[in-house]
Amino acid sequence: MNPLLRFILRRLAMLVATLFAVSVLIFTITQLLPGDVATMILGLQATPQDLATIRQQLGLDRPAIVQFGRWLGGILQGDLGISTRFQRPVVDVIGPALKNSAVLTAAGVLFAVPFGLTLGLICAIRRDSAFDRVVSSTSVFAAAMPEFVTGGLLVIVFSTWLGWLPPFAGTGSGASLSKAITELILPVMALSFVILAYILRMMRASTIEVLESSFVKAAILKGLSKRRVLFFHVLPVALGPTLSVIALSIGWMAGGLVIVESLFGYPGLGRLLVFVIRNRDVPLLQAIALIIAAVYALANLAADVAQRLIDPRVAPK
Amino acid sequence: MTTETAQVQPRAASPSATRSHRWLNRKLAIPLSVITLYALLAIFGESVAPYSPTAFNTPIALKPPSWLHPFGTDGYGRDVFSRVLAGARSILLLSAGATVFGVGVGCSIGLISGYRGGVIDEILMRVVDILLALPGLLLALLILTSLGPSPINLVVSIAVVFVPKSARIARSAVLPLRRLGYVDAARLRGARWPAIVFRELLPNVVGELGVEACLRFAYALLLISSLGFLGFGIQPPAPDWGLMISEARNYVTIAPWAVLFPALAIGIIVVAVNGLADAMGGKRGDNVTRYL
Repeated sequence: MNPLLRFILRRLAMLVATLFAVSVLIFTITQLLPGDVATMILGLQATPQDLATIRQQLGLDRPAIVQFGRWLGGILQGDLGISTRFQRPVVDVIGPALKNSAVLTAAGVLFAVPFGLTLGLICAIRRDSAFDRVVSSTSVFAAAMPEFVTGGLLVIVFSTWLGWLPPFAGTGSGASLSKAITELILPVMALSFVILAYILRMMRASTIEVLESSFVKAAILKGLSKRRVLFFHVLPVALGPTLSVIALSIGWMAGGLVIVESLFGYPGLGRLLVFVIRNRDVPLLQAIALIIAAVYALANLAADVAQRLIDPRVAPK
Repeated sequence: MTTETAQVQPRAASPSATRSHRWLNRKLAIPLSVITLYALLAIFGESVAPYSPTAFNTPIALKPPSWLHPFGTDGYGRDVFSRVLAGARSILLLSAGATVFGVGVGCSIGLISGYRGGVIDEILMRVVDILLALPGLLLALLILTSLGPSPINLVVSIAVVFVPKSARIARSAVLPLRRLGYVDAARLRGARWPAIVFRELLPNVVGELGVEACLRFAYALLLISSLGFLGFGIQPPAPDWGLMISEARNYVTIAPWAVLFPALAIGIIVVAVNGLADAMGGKRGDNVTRYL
């Protein structure tokens, strides 16, 4: 079999095993949550009989391992259970939120990747120039900041002082296109500044490394044009490590969504997660945590595959 | 996940080290002085604060910065300057606690796992893989909500997030050392494994673990303030910087100062600690993928 294919299959098998383990972890943690699910659904006035009936209906009287089996079995059939707070199937509640978060993340990637790559490349070529110094040191700041700090500062500048952009993004992707876009600008910037900075620094570092390598010197001494060396010799090699940082960034965004969506009131998965934790909606919480873990794991897998594609020397462990 | 092979560099000073000596000093001096300032704030901040950081004074709510209130007042008329000063202690103490606890446990696991190898290593590293399969903030959030919000639980949940990564770093730092002559010598002398791990191996990787602890401290500041911001960390009315930002968020268009100053307070210390890690860690861009 093709070694690359075998590598991907192996990693996919590991991914399934990891997700299974993560589902055990999530199930265990959420079982520890204080509060009784039956009381949560029926309210404090419920009679003991009603509580017993609903416990039996939901299988809450069964041992934890049976409950876990039923939960996992349901997931495999696409049934994530019923939200205790909304009294609707979890899938229906998550759907729109997932779509909104996907829009936000995609916009973040579309913003961060081209800017990060271009700026990183320019910094590497004009190394130690004023431009490089300013951009590189700004990127150190940007990469270190929590998203709500960057976001808060952006809101102060663009909403309070300049008045150009709305300070909240509560309508989500359901609004008219122009409104949705103006509302999205600040959350997208807050979400992707960190990633932009990482991509930039990685691109800068790997380009510098390639520029100093002997095959690039050979290409220059051979008399090739600067542009040709840059685009055909330097760029493909320098992109390798950066690609895996880009893939990892998507996983990072899955965590950043919680902060950015809460900051801007954006109706996505991250804000829903905070709401669900406050309201102890266990089925919904389990589903959201699992989705985020899956996205994160897939992003990590993509990072490894990307690195392996670019650099065949990276052998599987 | 991919680039964590920490390299063990020889102790001897390289020629470039002496050349960049002065630059390195300056690189260390700025972050160190900022961190010292924050440490002083953590100790004396609350006592030098001109007003009570928690008492409401609604008649003067949302006043812009002035001589009386250099950072303005918030929605309840509390002095933002006093709250920023008083807020330094909790975030610094909690972050330091989480770092010491998390990195300590993680590094011990990593050192033992790396030195002993075999089944123990295999099991520990699989547990690490599972813990790393969740984004840090999500894992901290889940643990914290199941434990309930309290300062101790905050430290514990963040320490749990730190354990797997620190274990990996320590393990990969110790792997190339475990078959070296001095380790064999210690073994032949009859030393038991705890002595070998903590007396022979630990001193040789302490530099890398220092950089690791520094990066983790920056990340702890970020996580604690983020949890505070989400409302799961320090509870009101305590002057927590993250919490202050989320409280003032709704009236940011009227009173931007109530968001601006706590945001700057967090931003400056996080950048300073990262700068310190950078200066300690040497190679630039080396720690790019550590968080991810």
